[in-house]
Amino acid sequence: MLSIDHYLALSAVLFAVGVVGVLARRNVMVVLMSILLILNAVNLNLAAFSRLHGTADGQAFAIFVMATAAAEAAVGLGIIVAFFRNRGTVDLEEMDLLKW
Amino acid sequence: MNALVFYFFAGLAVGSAILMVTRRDPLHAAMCMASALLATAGIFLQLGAEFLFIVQIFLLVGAVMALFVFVARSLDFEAGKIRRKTGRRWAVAGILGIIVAGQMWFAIAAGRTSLRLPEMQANIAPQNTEAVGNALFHSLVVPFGITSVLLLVTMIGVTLMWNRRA
Amino acid sequence: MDSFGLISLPAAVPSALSAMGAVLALPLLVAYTAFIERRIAEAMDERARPVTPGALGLLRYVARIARVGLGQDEGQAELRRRIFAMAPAIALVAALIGYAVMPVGPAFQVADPNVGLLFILGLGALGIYGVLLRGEASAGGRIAMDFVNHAAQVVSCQAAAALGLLSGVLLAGSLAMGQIVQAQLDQGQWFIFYVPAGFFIYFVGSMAAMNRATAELPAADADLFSVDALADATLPAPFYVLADYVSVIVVAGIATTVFLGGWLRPMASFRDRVPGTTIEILDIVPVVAALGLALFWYRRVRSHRTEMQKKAAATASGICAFVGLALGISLFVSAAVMAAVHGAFWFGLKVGGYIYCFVWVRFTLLQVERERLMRQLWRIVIPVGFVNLITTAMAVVGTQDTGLPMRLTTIAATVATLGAGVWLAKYAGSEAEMQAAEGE
Repeated sequence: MLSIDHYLALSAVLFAVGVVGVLARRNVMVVLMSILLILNAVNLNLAAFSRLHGTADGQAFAIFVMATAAAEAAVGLGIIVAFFRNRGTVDLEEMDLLKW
Repeated sequence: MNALVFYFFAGLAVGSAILMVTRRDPLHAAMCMASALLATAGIFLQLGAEFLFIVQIFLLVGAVMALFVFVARSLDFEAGKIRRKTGRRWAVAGILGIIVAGQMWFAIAAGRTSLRLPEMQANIAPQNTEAVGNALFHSLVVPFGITSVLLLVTMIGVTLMWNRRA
Repeated sequence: MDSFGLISLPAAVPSALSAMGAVLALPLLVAYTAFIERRIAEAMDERARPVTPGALGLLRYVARIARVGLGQDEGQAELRRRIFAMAPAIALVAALIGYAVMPVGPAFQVADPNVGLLFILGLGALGIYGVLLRGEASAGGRIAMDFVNHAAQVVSCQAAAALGLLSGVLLAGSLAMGQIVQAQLDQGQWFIFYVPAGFFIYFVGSMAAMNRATAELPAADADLFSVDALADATLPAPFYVLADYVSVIVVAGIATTVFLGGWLRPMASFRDRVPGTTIEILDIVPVVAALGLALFWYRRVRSHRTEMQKKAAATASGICAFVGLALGISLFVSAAVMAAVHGAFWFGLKVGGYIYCFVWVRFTLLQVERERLMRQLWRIVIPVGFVNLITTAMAVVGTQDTGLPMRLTTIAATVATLGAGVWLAKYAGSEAEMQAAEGE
């Protein structure tokens, strides 16, 4: 009774919430989390289609996405900390210089 | 039963995600995000993707979100520091979000009739971990290697960045 | 319910019973673990004896745990409690659920998912939130930062411990806890004999992750928050103490399952039977040993002078007699009952021995401060863990490809790991010292 559409719809909603977070928030940490949420929505799709086709390839791809997300979070947080130490803020709109 | 589990976790995920986007305190946002990720992990389990479920908990909730909490703590900035008016941003973001959701909704609705996807497979592979491992180490071994190099580079880069700052 | 992952419905009834047993038994076991830890500390460290009145204080511990369970934690009234009230619950639940996949004997296992070991480790990772939010729920500022540092330490230690465990997983070829024990039965050897280096790495890593024998704040914690102090003063969050001890038991259970053969008895492949019966000869040994110990303690009851010692001896005698009788009677009931009771006995014995070693090391070795611990962890233990993982993998593949006996290949792997460890300790260790001196 649960069809693939349920999972796709949920994934779409999560994706849209993530997009709103990326666009609306000015705290860089929350923006990073929103990106994580978007990637998570993608993973949901991959897992659902993996189940639909009865193979594990989609899940393996989701693992790649997770690894990339982890790397992104590590680098992003490193940059945030460095930025905070330089400028004393995490406001996205303050990040308007390529070099300081 | 299955549908009940799905709706429970789906509601939890969407609710936590919305809370995550709207909380002002980044620490609260991180906790809500962890909750959203856990709910998604529940849906992975419901899909029979046990390995994904555990990696989600282990890696994303246990490590990445803990890192967020860690940074949110150690930066110790005032939560309400960013307090300039953000109404326009929200309006634009909301409209764009609705557009994105509408597009995907349309795509799903269109794909339903045109793609003729098969029904969901009823059974799960009993050895899910083995299946994922086989996929990773046979057909996807090159991407796997590239991903591990990516992780290595990330590790070195972050370590260097921290050391230079300190 | 055809597809909801871990548990199928018909199998859920004994599972549910086991789960209830675990949830009820673990807090009680915690009381005894805490008590025994204090006693060992007393014997080894000449610390002051905790005040233990009446019946060895054992029942009092039980009552205290019950009080903690019902407890009123008035300590954190002024804190950010709305969201952080759940911190201790996270810590405790994360620790408790781990036992759901632990095979305590062939019959007692709530569930055996094919990611069992990762499941426990993942829950351990969730326990981080307990630590982080605990810092948040405390006074904040400096103390909160201490907890953040502590969380970083726990993460690093868990990484090291997981590396150690992976060598055992490689040998078993499975992440399911039941399968790991089964593999040790099939291969006729506990994995500690194949990968002693992996076991050692797990021991060090898990001990450092357990707030044991490490950083100053949690070390003081263990004294301040001991079960004695628990009930008398209403401390902020007694659940944390419960969670700490439960996770000690969980850690010991993991080590027992992966390296020490789980519920298998020593020499599990020696299956000769007593002539004319279905009883295996070696299964009689623990019965005789337990009854003998009971007799020994019973004689001590009379020779001891003080009331306290008499009670202690009587209690020990009673416990030994009970265990011996249970083991003995189960031999004659049926094969399944025998396997269950004896399996649980061996599992408990091994977990107890592991915890004893934990406490032993904690109170005898030097306590290391956090920076030094972290440095050595990342420079020595984790690299050695990787070397061990790679050499073990080579040993497994070598055995599969060439047909050499596993014993030989794993010995080669262990020697290589040891060499790497010695080299790293000499090279990286000395460099670390140099840098530390430089820093000062």
